[in-house]
Amino acid sequence: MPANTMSNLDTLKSTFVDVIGVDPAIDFNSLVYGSTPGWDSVAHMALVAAIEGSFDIMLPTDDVIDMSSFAKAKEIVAKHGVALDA
Amino acid sequence: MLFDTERQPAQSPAIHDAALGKWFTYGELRELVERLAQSLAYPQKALAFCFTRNDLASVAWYLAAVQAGHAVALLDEGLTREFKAALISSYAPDFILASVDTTDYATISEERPGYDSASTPEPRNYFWRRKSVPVQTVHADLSVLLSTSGSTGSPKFVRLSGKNVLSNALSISQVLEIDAPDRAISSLPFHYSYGLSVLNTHLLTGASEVMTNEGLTSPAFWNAFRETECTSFAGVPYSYQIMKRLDVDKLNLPSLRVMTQAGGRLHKDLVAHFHQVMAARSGRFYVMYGQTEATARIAILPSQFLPEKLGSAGLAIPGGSLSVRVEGRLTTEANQVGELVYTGPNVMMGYANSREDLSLGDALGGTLETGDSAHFDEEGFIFFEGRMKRDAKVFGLRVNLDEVENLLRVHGPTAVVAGGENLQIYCEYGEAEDFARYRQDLAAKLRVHHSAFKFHRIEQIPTTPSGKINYPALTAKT
Repeated sequence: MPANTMSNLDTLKSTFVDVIGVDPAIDFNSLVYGSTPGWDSVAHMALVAAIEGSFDIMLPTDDVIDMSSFAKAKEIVAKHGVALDA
Repeated sequence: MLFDTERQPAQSPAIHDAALGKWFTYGELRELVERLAQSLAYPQKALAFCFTRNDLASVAWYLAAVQAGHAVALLDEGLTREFKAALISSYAPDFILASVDTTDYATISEERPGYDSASTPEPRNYFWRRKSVPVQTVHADLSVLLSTSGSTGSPKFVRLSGKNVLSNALSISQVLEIDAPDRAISSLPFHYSYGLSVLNTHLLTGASEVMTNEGLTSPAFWNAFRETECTSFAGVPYSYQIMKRLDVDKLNLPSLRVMTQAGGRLHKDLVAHFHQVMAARSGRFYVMYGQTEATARIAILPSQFLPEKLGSAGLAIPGGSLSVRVEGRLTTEANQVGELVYTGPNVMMGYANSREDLSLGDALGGTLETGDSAHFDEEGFIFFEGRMKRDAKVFGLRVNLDEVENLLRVHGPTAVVAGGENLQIYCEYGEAEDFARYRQDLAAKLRVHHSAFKFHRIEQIPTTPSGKINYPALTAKT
């Protein structure tokens, strides 16, 4: 359902805005761990916890480490059954 | 060279630069350091600022400056341009050494006292030499300068002699049983005393270290760990919180044999957890205690005393001794709580706040008042009670509360206290949107995640009868 899938993507975006402190108008696909200011290891763990909380999922070790960009985060969240694409 | 690496076989691996994907043997490292040291010829003992990253070039500059007989300050390449410029302006170092060539240095080098850029035959080794030789002298014993707080760009340095650095590396490698086959990975920055002690202990014993700038949550860090078959991991309490979440057993690290922890108190549950994790793979887990003022390490809990001495920071390292000051008297009696006092050959010469201070000799005579309150148990193991000094650990970084206050005082009366993993900031001014701005500003300046700063509007900051800020009253509020 489009309305619902939009809101999951928006939830993911707002999680990044809250935790990393990026501008909500930013091109989210440009966000990369280690080069986006504010996305360091501390923010990364906070991000993982926030995403797990938002979508009620539990990410295994490989996903925690692999979530190195916004695009990757979308893939990982989708893999855990959260519908993001229309 | 500081550690007489001549003793190590030329063909033995010394440093792996993960970004270059290349190993450097002790023979290659010696040659490189020798060439770089020659480029640091100077009419007198000089002060070198080495802006470091976890890479071969930074390690080589550090060793070259020491080999050339100069004093070297190890600083974070990631400091903001403003902090770098302020430090250079106040210390006027004779050399600025770096492993990256940024516009920062080009513009800073034109400011006081003025620098010529020089080139070395080595790629990734950049340096700038001061145009005029200063009149101030650098004390003959001074070898390494470390910042008292990694990220605030504080001009306060710890002055360490060659003897400090060498004796501490020797004591640590004895207790941890570091030997040639051992291999560390730079899980901590090497301008930080703990990160530096990992490098020094491994070079001293002919072991090796993998240098990477990747963090624990990066796949590249763990790929490097697995591919180079690292045997040890060093972390601060926050690193172990991450490691708990990542799960050591799921990371697939068959070569891992030793884990060490320092840089603040690790919760007992995590100590017990990591002891079990390592014991299950016939490895060792060490809880350690130290301060930059003691070069790095003061005490280590040998792993065989876990879980028996859970919660203890262990025993003084070889060559050092500990006591507590109770009502003005030093004692080693059990169950007496007082300020922990350490005596040993690794106690710093003193602090430096300016270039002039670099000419000073040893001001402490080998004895350090740690500012930590502790007691001994019946068998002489130390247990901590708390902190007496005005600083806090946030996400593994030591932050001086007075420095944070000073950064905010331009806006109005401010008082900062530590509360858990956060700094509680009380302001007699400001609205939520101002606090959001200050928070981002502090996060950028101190390079600490913004969630560490909790702002509170307060009508009036409580004071003691003598007019000083009543910090205990504020701590009680948090």
